[in-house]
Amino acid sequence: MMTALENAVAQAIATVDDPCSIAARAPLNVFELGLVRSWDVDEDGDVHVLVSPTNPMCVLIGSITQSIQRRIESVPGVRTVVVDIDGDFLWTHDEMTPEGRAKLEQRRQGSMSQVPVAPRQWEGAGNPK
Amino acid sequence: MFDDWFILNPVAHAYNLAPSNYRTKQGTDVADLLRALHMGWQPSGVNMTEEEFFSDWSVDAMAETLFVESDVDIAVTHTLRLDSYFYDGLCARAKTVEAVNKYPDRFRAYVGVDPTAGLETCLRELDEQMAELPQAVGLKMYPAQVAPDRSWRMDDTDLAFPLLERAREHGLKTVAIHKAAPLGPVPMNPYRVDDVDGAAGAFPDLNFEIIHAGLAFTTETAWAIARYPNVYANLEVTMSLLFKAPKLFESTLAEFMFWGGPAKVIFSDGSMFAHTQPLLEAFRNFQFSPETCQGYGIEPLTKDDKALILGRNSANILGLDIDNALAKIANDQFVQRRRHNDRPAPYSTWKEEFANRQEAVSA
Repeated sequence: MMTALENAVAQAIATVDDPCSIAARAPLNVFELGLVRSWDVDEDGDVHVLVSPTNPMCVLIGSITQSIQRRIESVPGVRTVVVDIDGDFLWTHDEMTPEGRAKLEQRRQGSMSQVPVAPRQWEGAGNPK
Repeated sequence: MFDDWFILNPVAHAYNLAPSNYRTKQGTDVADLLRALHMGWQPSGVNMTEEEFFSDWSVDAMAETLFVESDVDIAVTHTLRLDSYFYDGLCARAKTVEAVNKYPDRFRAYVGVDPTAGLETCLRELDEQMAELPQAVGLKMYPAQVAPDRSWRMDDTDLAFPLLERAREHGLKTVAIHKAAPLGPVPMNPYRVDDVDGAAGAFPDLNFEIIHAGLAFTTETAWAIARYPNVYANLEVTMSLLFKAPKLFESTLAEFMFWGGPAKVIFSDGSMFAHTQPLLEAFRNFQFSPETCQGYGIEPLTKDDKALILGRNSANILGLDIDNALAKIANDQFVQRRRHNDRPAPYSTWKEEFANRQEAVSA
């Protein structure tokens, strides 16, 4: 069972969406996308979060950690917040939660129904020049 | 030749990374990003020193790196127009001209314009560059500039389409658009790939290369190469995931193979910031795992698939006759040097030239 403070911190983290997923019009929060490697809250209200980018070349991880920091700092009962980046962890789609995968798939299926796409569809349109 | 494969490296540049070339802080950031990729995304020991890296690279060194230190047969060098980052755009037009005029059988050229400068400027510059280098085969562009942030879209009928029309009139075969990899902490939106669709549909007789395909928006890119016969995934920097994050490379390539197939993916590395030879050797040995084949619904890569990816697809894009191109370089200066000497160590040519240059300066 999570404490009330842990629950509030988790909810705060879950309000942070990944910027690339927003740009792709399929917003996923950092939990759903599997960016949060770990997080904990001690009895004094000190919070530590460890996150990783989806790609080693990600330049937006700084704004993601900053958003997480600010959202957690606004939770009553929190004393300090430290958000660290795990730059060595290699993210894959397997890190996404089932809810995140379902959201993304739903968005993609919606897109596909608007613009049907099939593997190697281009072959029916002629050979590449 | 690398084994029996024809190798065409479609993205090569002799950067000017000398600090005096940084126009803005974002230019400094991009130089640092390239340095981090150079050091962290290559095998251990394959690197330049900081002094060698943060300098003005020569066309001769680029040629040696590609054709003597590596088994590249033909390379394409691009005029880069990161004008808001670097005073000379990062790889100046003069270097493209020098490369193609000095080594006409080894280099092909993409000219470059910056559409954020406006249509009139772009058309004038394109005409000028084509008059200077009529043998150019492609056009390279970036989707955004900084200070202030500004961007454009490939499906803009008022800006991009007249420019593409002029490119077609000049006989250019392909348009290479930097995507997926934002250049610093800048708005991400211009680096999405959806605007390529509109251009590809409107200009079916031009080819479109999505550069850095798979670093972001992988599925969207995969769908683009699935749907449009004239859109290709260019793997510059993405190839280097072979060293940095091989599982990510495998899943990215698997997605491209499922949706587009081997005829729609092209090897690329951005030499000489990344050295080609280790990538060629790593890709020769690369194979999808049985789990990946099953999970992505694809077959293991065949030797023919790799031949397409390593050079034949790029040759098709450029309308290059491979046999004719190989005949012209069969006994050129690079082949002769390789025939009589062992392969030089990576970057050894540039290291020697840089040392001589430093010695001349201090003398």
